Amino acid sequence: MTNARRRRTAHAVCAALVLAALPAAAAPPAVASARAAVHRGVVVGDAIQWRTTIAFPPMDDASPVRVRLAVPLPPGETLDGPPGARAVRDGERIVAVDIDAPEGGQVVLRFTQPGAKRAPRAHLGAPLVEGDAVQIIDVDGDGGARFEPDPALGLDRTLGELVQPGVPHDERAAAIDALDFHPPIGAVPLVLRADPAVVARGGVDGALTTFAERRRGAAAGIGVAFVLAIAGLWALQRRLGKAAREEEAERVLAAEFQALARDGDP
Amino acid sequence: MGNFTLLLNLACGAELPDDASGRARRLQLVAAALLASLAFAALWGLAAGGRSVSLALANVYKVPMVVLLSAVCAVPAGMLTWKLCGAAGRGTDILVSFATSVFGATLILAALAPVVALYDHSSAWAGPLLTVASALLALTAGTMVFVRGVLRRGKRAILLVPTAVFVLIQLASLLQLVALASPIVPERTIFSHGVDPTVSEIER
Repeated sequence: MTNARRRRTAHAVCAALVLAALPAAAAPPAVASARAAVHRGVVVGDAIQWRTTIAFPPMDDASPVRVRLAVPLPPGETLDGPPGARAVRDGERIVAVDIDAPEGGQVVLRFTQPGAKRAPRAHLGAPLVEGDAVQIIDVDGDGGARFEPDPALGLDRTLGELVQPGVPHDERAAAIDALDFHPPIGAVPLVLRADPAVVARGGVDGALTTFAERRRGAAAGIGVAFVLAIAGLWALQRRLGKAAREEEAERVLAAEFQALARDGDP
Repeated sequence: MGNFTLLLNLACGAELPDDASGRARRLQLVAAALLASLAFAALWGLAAGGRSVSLALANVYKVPMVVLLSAVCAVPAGMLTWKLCGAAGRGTDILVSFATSVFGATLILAALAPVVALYDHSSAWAGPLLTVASALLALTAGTMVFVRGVLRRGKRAILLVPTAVFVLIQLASLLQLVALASPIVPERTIFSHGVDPTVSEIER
């Protein structure tokens, strides 16, 4: 073999080694599929602060993972933590999160969704995880905030939950156990999977209302009931006056007759 | 004035006089007691919201509304329970006892209204406490007046069952009506948002 041929062979081997090494350095972390997720949103002013807990199947804790989101988060939503998590963006929307090392098979992510209440219809920026994991969304916060999902989402209203048809009870229970989820009394969490219908709708839409907003309708009805009750009492009071006088007259007459009868007895 | 004295005597546990033995007269007393309660409740409402003119004026409507509608909500369930219990006696006996207990409770509110207003204006700490305490005192006293009236006029222990239903239903209605009518006091209380946060707060 000539020197020139040796050099060419060495260059080819080096190039092959460099090419083989390059993709390994730039490769994203392995995509992790979630077992279950809970997204707890707290409404603060116009924003929602999300605290998402994701449970993974048994895995090597030391390896970084990527969690892909089923629906890109709304523009402006930011990932606030934890330190080992990095947002993967497509333009200005978060589409995935890279996590250095999930500990104990779980990770807790924090997001802030600004301007959630500005639109007439609220769009929840809950980071729904891609895949068929059962996910629970619970929103509360300022002024007794409550989220009422769009009926088109087709969730079934059960006692204390809004459940996507097809999510069996045991899977819901398993998700709740895995994430140690205890909703506050009065909360009505949404239980769903990021199925194609949810993805096609771009996530979860609905109405985000405060207690004061919800009670407006009831207050009007109660006001009417109050006026009717007063009017009824007033009318009853007036109408019974005559009947009461008649009763009194009958009672006095009866007493007089009894007295007469007693006086007339030998 | 005659009705006021009579209702006061009934609230104090007196027997119904002979001239109140007729059904119409008893129902008239019930209506009179509830109408008088509205005025007493409005007085307390004025005092409790006294730091803000708009709140005080709104309370003239809100507090009587809460009192009257909670009482009205309790009547059907209470009377049904009385009937199902098969207790001897007249239905108007228990109705009169109930109405006079509402009368007595709101009279306590009205009597405490001046001191509630005074503290509300002069103490940021004691004012709200006294306001809530006066309401709780009125509730407790009203319940005691009701139980005593029922037992004294009915003379049957079984009557405690409809009495309990009356009280529980009224309290349950009161809790949600207070939430719907809030704010009644300027401060946010655990009753401001109804049963859900109240139970959460108690659990915590």
